[in-house]
Amino acid sequence: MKAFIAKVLVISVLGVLTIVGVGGAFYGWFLPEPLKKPVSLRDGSARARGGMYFAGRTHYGGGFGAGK
Amino acid sequence: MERKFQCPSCGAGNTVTNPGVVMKVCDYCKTAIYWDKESALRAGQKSLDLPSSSRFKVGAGGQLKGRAFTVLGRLSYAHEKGTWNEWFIEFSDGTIQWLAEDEGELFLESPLVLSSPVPPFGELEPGMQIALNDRVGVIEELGEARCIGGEGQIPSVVEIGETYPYADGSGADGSFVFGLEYDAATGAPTAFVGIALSVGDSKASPAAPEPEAERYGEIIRCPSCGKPYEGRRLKTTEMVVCQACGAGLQLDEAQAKVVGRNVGRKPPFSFEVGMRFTFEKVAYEVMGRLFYVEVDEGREYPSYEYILYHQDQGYLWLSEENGHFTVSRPFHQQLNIGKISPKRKVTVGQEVFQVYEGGTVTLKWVDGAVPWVASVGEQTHYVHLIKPPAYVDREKTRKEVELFRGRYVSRAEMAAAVPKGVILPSARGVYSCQPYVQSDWIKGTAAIGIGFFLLNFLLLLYSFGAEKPRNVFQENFSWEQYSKEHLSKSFQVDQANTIFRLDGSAPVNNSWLAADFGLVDSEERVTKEFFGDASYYHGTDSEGAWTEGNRSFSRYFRIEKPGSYRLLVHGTGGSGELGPARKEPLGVSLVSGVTLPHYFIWPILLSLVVALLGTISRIIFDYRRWKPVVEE
Repeated sequence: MKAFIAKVLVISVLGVLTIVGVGGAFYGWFLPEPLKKPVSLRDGSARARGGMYFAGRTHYGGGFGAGK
Repeated sequence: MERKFQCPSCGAGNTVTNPGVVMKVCDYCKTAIYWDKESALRAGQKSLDLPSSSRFKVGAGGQLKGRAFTVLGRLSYAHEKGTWNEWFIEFSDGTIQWLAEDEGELFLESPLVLSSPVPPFGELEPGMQIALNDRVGVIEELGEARCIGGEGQIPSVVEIGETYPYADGSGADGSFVFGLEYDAATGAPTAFVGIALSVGDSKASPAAPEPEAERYGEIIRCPSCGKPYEGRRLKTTEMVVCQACGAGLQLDEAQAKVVGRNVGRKPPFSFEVGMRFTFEKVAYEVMGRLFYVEVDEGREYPSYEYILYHQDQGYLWLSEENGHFTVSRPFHQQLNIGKISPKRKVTVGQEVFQVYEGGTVTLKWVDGAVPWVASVGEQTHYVHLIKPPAYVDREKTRKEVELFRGRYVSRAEMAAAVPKGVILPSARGVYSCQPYVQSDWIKGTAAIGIGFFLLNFLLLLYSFGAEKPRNVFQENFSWEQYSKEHLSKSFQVDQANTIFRLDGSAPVNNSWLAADFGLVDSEERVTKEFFGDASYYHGTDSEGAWTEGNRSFSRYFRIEKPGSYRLLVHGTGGSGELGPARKEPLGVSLVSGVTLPHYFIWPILLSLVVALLGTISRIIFDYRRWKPVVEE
């Protein structure tokens, strides 16, 4: 019984990983999703300070790390 | 041809059937009678009442490797650690030989005429090699034996009460055993060579075995406390331990003699004396128990030994350590162990074993009945060789080298061997000679792992092959453009769910550039956002030159619907630790028709682990086996 459960578990895990691999590699399952509500470039820019769509909300968090 | 004569001591009639006999113990008064070529009779000392054998009797028959024999006589000897019998037997074809019976082992020997001298007794040491004519023997045991008596017809003159030095040993290849008896007065050696018989080689005639009830023997009274020993004992028992006071009683003389005493609390033995075990369909009984301790780097390592006995199979040693069990028997083979270094290979006959460890154990407790004199406090130096599940132990005391060969007893076999209701101790760690047994749950998973490994590897190759990259556009954005947001030129997407790779690069140098991208459709709506950055720093510190970061980046995204699109690019940057942007240009290229093969790396790695699970678990098992003895 233990052996059977182990086999089922192994097949399940590897099967799921294979499916995930196929989805990820060929269909881009894990790439950025579209925005739930597309934002008009004009409206988005108008809402932000300085009249720019990305103004004030850059995603960047890096910078100088002194080699660490 | 039979010879009849009267005992010079009591006058009783005696008969000698074998012409080679020169000594006869009177059947009636037990006086040793000798004669020479002239047949002059001479009376010697009286024989003691001899310890009886569970296997043989004078006058009874038996079989050795299928050959019928009759027991003509025997001599019994006492030595430091007990007694042994030498049976003088005559085969049906008239051949005569000696059958030595010691601690349950049997040796069939014949006299050997030495054509070259052997070293005098005083020069011998256990483990020493000596030449026996054209053969090489190894000394296993040295001692002094005293003839305590005899019975029947004897082919050599042995004075009862006579003491002489002796040496026992075996051939370098284990093919023969030998004994050397040194004349006490002249020091002249007499040699015997023969073979060690395995269990089952000998078969006594049906009349010879003792009735079960007689195996309990006569009452032994402890000389130390005066109380009777009421435990189990056999005729081969050399020592019992008084249940009342814990004194070890040596039984080779007419009176029991105290040879040691258990002190302290009784160790937590897993099994009781008298308990029955079944190994290989043979029912054994626990006759005696011993508790040993080895001290290494201030830490005590306990081990237990149970002496099991079966009337036909003889003695079997059951050892317990850390909840693991082994069974073993004595065997005879020359070992050249050399340096005691873990994993060193040692040839034992045709097999190759590995040194596991060596050390010294001290006997701390003994009880029940044992076939040798085991004194509390005695030390044994041992070397443990393994070839799982088999092992060989060389045990060396001051006067003796003994070899035991045994095997690991699995928990399932042990559970089946003990009576119902007996709880086995929990096994800890991996035992030295424990064989690797693949768990049921691992069996079969290797095939599954290999299957998935191949599938995912093929998918990986296919994902590379299926990639049809096409440059959609390439555009450079200046600081002035991306710092204030800039829309790229438009590009056309013909197929739904096309995967794109955006490659960005900037000539950053101890500076960084971060960019946000928005995917803008034909209706001027941002439908997707993503981000990329280039950051490259370098310098030197106390450890030398260093660099970090990258001047380029790649980002993947998917466009779900066909149509015309543009990229909205917004960037910012900096330099040094908190310095201003260096305003490097940002190059962007867009490639369509790509795949993402790296998604197959995890299933490939995991399926590889599953495929190698058996091998990995074996490696871990072996690591745990050797860890206690192999230095880091």
